[in-house]
Amino acid sequence: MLELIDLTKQYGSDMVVDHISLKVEDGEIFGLLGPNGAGKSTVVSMISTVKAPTGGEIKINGKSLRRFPMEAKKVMGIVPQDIALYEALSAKDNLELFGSLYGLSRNESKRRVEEVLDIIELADKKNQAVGEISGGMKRRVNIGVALMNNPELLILDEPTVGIDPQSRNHILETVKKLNKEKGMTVIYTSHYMEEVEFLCKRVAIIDNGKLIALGTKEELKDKMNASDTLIVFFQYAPEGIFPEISSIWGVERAEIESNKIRLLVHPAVKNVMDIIDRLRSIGIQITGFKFEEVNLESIFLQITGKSLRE
Amino acid sequence: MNKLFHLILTDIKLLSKSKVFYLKLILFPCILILIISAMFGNTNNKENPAFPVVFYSEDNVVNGKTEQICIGNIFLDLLRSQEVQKLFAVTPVSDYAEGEAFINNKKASVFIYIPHNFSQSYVNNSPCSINLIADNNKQIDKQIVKIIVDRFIRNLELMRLKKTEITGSIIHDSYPVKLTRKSINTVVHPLTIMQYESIAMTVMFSILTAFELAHGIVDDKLNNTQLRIKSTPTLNIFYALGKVAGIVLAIVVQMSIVMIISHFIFHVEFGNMINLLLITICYGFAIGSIVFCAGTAANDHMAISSVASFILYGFSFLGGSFVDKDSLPASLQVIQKLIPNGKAINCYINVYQGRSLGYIYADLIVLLIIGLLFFSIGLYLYGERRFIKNADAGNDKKPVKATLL
Repeated sequence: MLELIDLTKQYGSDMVVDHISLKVEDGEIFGLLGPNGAGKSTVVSMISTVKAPTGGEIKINGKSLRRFPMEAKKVMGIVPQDIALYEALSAKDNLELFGSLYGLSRNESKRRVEEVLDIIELADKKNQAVGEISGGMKRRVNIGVALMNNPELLILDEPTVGIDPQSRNHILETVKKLNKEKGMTVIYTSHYMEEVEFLCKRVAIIDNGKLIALGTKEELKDKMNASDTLIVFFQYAPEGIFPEISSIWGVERAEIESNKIRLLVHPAVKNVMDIIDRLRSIGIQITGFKFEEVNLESIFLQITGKSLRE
Repeated sequence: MNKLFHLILTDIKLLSKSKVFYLKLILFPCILILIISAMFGNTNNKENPAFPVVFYSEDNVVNGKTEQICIGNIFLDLLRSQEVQKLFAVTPVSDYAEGEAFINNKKASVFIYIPHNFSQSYVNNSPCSINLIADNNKQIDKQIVKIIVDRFIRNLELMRLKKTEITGSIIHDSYPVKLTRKSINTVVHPLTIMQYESIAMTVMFSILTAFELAHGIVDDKLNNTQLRIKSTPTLNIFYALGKVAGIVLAIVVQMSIVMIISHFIFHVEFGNMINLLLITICYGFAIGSIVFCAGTAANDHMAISSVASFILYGFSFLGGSFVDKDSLPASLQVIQKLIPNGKAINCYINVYQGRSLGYIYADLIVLLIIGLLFFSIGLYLYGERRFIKNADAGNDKKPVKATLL
């Protein structure tokens, strides 16, 4: 469906997207994960032809985007990170306008508007000015516009930023439903790893414009030899205890915060209780603990040494 | 075409939702025309505004060679003639004091007084005079009357030299002062001040209207709708044409409304409507393309407002919207003929005066060339894939729209 070949974007000496190559297959939901400023939105802007790549190639359905931009645009639906709607116009007017810009005839556009309003569950608000509806609803209209041409490839750039949990869940469910029922290929960018984990089977992790990992969660875990996380809450810990904690067998990395210790535990460790017992033995008064299996957040942390939300 | 239609329709919808637009589009030009018409005594005649004149003659009848004559009466007949009545309304009074009272009470601009035995003195070739008493604030009115009186006296002198009998019938057959509103060129109609002002104001406000749409282009950037449109399979030229066509349409609507209001309220007559429409479209395209170019080059509303102020006030002054174009110094009149709004005013005036399209086609072609030039620049800037960094920062930072007026 989509192929990025050695894609780069450079502003002066600043390499925003650094030789990224990846393939998105038909019908999959593909996650593009990375912290703010990693280069995700720039990749999306280049796919949506808003920005021109400095180098490399983008192919949609095997055709070069540079050579056949109009054909590519016809099969794509782009949901930009920021709400891109005419706030003075109603949801219906916005959908109709973009429907016509996607080349739909008047009748097709009218029919599609009703369908899209049903998908985004805003049929009862269709005549209300976009500026007068809630932020979550605006986000839904923002997605609705990208669905007007019934796209083969839907690209969502952080579509849940700054909205309430209810609208967020609605968006996630809608994306999943579109993929399942219509076979729509979806590229979903986010810095919320739980969203990407919920939606995407395959993930590309980007940091500082570079592709640092690509694959399914399981593949990444195996490839990175990624660790599970053990969080230990304590009442008291002797001073200068950090070197001793780091040297416990099976602990790959330790971080001490005010009343908790975050430990990355090697997959080879079969029983975390051994580590708990060892911590007690060196004088830490433990009040509780929590074990988290490896997730995208911990994989990212392990690869880059920093959190996704930094 | 469907895409183009929707882009134009969107601009019109967005404009129609703005109260400021109605104010700038219709209300301001109408109020200004109203004020200007009040200033010029609510008359349709630019050169010859009608004003009140009082007349008192103490002259008496004298015997000529063949019949009796009274120059005072002949002069009163002249003042009452149809041609002169277009210039001023004459009220005869019964004594000198009453005439003076008219002036003092500002009920009349000029008082014409013909003294006792004026005709006798004339026949005897003795010194005689017609007196004019005028309001100091009505110097122009006084000058107009003075010219007529001078011409009248000069004709009397001429007839005395020819030793021709002066009779009322002679005077009536060939008026000493033949006044007419007709121009030397019989094809060309005189221009009324209301016609000039209505067009000058509308041309000025059309620039304001056009810049309202330029703010719309900046809004498209700041609200990311422009980027979104770029991500659809829509050619850049459609977006550009949509914007410029929106401006042209808005200007046509504005021009039509002001003309209709001027016609029904101020009884302003306009020329060939098709020619007027053609001028409006050519002018709208020129000014629309300049504004489209400014809109695509600007990154925020402040930048647009800065350019708009310069273009609006500078062009309006140089184009002849603030002052009569013929009152501009010769050097500025050259500029007036070069800039789009000046060209538009000149074209409108020519049509109002009854001239044909053949007379103005060169100006229309220049307007189209100006439009095409700026349209091409604007299209290039739009296609450059420029983006505003602020627009990527999020929707919580709403752009502040700077006011133009």
